Amino acid sequence: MLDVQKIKADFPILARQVNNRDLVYLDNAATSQKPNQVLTAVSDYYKTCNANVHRGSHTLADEATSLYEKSREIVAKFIGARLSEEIVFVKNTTEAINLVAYSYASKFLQKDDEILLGVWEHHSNLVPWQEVCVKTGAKLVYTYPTKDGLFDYEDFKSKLSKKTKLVAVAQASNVLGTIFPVADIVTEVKKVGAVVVIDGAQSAPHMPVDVQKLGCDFFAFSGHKMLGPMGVGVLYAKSEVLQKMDPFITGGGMIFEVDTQNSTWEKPPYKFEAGTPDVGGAVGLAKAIQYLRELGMTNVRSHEVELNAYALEAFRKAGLTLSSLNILGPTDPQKRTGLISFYLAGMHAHDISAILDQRGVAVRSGFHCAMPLHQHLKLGPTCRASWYIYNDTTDIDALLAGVLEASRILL
Amino acid sequence: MTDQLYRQEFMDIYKSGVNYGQMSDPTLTGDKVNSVCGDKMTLQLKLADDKVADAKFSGVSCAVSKTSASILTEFIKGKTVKELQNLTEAQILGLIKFDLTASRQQCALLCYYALQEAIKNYATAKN
Repeated sequence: MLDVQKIKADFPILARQVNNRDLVYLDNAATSQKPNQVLTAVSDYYKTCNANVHRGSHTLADEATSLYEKSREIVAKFIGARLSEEIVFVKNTTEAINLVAYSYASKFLQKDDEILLGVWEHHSNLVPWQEVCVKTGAKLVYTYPTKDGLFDYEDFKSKLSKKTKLVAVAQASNVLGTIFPVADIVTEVKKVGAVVVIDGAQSAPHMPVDVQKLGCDFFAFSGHKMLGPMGVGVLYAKSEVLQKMDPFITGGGMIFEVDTQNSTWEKPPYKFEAGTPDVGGAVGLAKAIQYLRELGMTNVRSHEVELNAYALEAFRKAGLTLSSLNILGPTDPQKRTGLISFYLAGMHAHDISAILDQRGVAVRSGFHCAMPLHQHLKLGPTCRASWYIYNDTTDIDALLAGVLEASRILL
Repeated sequence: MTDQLYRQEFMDIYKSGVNYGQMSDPTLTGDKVNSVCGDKMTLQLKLADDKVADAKFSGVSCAVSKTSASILTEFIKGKTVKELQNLTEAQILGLIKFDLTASRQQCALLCYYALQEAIKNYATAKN
């Protein structure tokens, strides 16, 4: 079990008030808060050894390079990558997926090839594939969830064929909360020889991940959703796949040799890291990973499953008196990551979130960058509450009290 | 801010739904989508002697958008197209009298933006 009070003390922002109420931060699926340990690591980096990496021949440059590469090793170990050179530092999940779209898919996909993805995908795992289709003439094919918001094996298998060259799925949906069986998906996809891109933005922060066990070709996630600073994210790719890919952006730091007319590339991962990287961000992410590892990712997951169970029951009870209240996604707490999206029929999600904000409760409202899913479910904007290691049942209580208050005001 | 936003006076206008609905024979029509949230509003105006005789708004939108639309549609009744053209964002926000954050100002101005579209469409049709 996590000691939530002890954890909370590490997060200065959680001590603040919002609209004269104690902050109840339930927007972790958008971004997590940062502990003192991470803030200090970033500030120490800038205070003590800031320099440009891989370039200088002075002590600070060596120290900065060493810290940056050490961070890469820590990330590799965190997700079970075989080699640290399989870790490419990027800005965020969006950039990681764009890198795959431009450097892999645009190069290898052809007219009438198919890209298969879930209709629940975040726009960051959807729009880049639309662009690949525009460029290559490939087609997008969608798999749909079951009515309970679970993975529909039959639908998926019926869409998978020899034409499928790439499958892109989230390990956990940022709206439904559903955890998808990505290891099974990879097994199926490998039967047709396609590559698999896993969007790990909502999974890597919340549960143990082992990319070798999953068997995926690509795995993308963001540092800022897992206690790290904004501006650093990760693309994992199998070494043999990275070798085949062209650079995404070009310039300094990614070249082997340059003459006036031509250039040759560094080996991966440097080939994909043009320009000065966010070294402070990588150092902060490494510290965030250390923080999470000390808690234990299995414990992080158990904590969230407990909160899921508590929240699902709280929503069920509230629904008995508030018939307009609906939640999205599976009712089994084990099948969800730590979030619940909900709506009150006849009431606008932005009004609900504004009334919650008035009570210090921060939730997201809108389409959560998943408009195709909302269209599929024939829904307008929804609210989403998402928890993490510093949340407890009192936060869920504050959420439900706010939802009841909102319904009283708006009805 | 939100304290006063969802207070009784505001909610009374919201719940009364003043001018919410559609008319069958509008002289001017304008649509606008709030790019922040995807909410959409349609504004319809009926002119008589170049003055607004009736105004209706419709679409899926939040309480701030709807309440502001009720206030704006009431305000523009009896005004000429020329007068509508001269309306400014600041004037509309002044009418609404609530202290709004930048993102909620977009909600409050959705109907005003739909009005701008309606005027543009009207001018195009006339030419």
